[in-house]
Amino acid sequence: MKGVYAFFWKGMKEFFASKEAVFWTFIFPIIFGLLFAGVFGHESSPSSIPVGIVPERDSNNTLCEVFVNGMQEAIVDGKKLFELHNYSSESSAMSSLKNGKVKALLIFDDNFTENITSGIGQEKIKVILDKRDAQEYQLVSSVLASYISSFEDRVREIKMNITMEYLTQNGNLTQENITYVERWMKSFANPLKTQEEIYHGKSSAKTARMWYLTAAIGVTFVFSGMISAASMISSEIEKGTARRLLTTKTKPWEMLTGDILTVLLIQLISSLLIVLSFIVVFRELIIFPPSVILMLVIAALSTTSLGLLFSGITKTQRAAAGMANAIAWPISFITGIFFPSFLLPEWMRSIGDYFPASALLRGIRKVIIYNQGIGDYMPQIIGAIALTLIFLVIGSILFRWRMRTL
Amino acid sequence: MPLLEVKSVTKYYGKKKVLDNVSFSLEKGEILALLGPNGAGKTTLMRIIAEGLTHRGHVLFKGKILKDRSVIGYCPQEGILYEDLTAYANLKFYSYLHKRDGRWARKMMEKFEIPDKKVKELSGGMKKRLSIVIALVGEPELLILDEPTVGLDVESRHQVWEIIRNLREEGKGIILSTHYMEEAEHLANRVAIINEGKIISLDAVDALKRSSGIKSAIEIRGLFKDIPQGFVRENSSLVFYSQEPKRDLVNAVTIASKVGKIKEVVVREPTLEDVFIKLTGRRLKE
Repeated sequence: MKGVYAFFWKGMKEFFASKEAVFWTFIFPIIFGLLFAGVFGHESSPSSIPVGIVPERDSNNTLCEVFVNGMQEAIVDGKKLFELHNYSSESSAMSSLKNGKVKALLIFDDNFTENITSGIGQEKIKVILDKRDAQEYQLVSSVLASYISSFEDRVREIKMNITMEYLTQNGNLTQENITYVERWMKSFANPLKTQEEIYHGKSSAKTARMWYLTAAIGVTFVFSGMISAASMISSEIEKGTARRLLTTKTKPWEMLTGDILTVLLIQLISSLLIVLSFIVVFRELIIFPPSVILMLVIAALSTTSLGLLFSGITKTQRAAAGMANAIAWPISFITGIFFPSFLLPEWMRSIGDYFPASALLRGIRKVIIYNQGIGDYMPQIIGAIALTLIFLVIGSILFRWRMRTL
Repeated sequence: MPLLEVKSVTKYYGKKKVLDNVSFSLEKGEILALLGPNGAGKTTLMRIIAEGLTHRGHVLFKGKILKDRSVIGYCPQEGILYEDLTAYANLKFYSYLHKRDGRWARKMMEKFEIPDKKVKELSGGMKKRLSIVIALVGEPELLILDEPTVGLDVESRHQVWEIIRNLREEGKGIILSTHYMEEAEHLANRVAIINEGKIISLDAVDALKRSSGIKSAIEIRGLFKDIPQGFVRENSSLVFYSQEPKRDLVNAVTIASKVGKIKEVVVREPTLEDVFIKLTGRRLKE
């Protein structure tokens, strides 16, 4: 075991003796994580939706005016829900929508008020929506539909009250029947009454920060873990030190274990520093449960074992590091380490399922971001552990083969 | 019983035979120099002994087949040092590999006066000294030093020689490879001249000179267009190896004057290089 300790001790000394290695392994991921968390990890405030209005002609004291005034007064979390722009014609309003000044147009008929109050049948409002941005369209159309629905409720209520007044005066109904008819009409007009409750869970800001915390850890594992492991063994072989080491009392497996432990510990120290930097900068307590710590260790081991595998199939340190680098970049993007996996195409998501580090990172996110257990995620975790062991075994076999053929 | 016996060792790289039936032995407190040009097979022979490179034939240590290579102190030609670590850290690391602790490393640092700086800040001579000290970690009886002074300045080379001589005094058996004639002459008890994978002569330096049949070397310095038969070229000189210099001097000068302009004529004792040229027909640094 003294041989294992020797390589571990030497590896740590060599790592800390290199300022570049310390920067890229420890400082860069912290900067990366804090930068993204700082940019995207703040509370979002509601914004006003710009809407163009083409009112009915002579809109004073009309229901159109009531409708528009209601829009002007609609407030969510202290912010006006709509930013209204008046237009005299549909064509001028349309050019504003095309320019992106407004996201929707509401065009009222000239007889809007008359038709609603005294007409029989339905009145219409022409709604034109900008669908160039699908998410914006989804948001604007739902907010407008919701507002129009509220307005309809109000109109129904007024109409119902007028009807009830008429029935009370001319309907020859008993008081009991009037009460019954009133209830019947209310349920007819508004069959559903929504009851709104708000869940104040983890804020979107904290969720984003936790996301980028895990992304920074993932990037550290994929880059420094894989590249360091790939380079470490290859450099011993390339420099000739591995040959010299074989003439000592130390066995090759001691060299392998010592080097693996070095890379593993460096990755875990880097993770710890990332967490500490988030605690200090964002002033929030982050405590990882044992299941998360276990998944972190396995994820670090998985990238280390992949690096070991690369060092076994390449001849030089430069080739090993280049290979690890070339694989680390696409892996960090397409397996959900850097971007949320729901943004990725289906086939890319499945790559993430088979890449152990990203599968384990998803498990970690389930626990620390969404407060879920890992029970239902166990098959993926077991799969990641199995793949890690397979990489480790193949890497060790290749290492032994390379040491024999030095 | 010899400390080391190499018996009929042959080595192929693919179809190329790089060592051909090499045999020799080494006693305690003896330095054996392997002398030969680049590519002669010196390093391969040392790797067979120190690293156990696959081969035909046998390598015996104290009469037994050598299996545990940790009994050998090995200083290969390429760098075995970790440049970003200090000299002490390097020595401590190798001490751990030999299951020793750091105290031994500290003691050796003092004994060999190695400064505790980062290796990349050490001079070439100091690095070589550190590499030799690393070879001593397991307190071996046998040391294999592959080109221990290559690339060093004269002063550093002499310092390394001093260390090697002291190690011999301590009773260690040492095999060193070199292509410096004077190194072999100054250090070695015996010299094995190796060329194209074969040991073509193995003896003490004086005995080698005697057995080569060269009594004197007539060195004719000047500018020459051609090398006459019976002469060899050494830098800008023509050299004629003679049993009887008084008899051959005039004849040699007459022949040399026909192929160029003579500046100076020197009759000197033969060197190991002369022996090498006589035996192989080529210069050591070719």
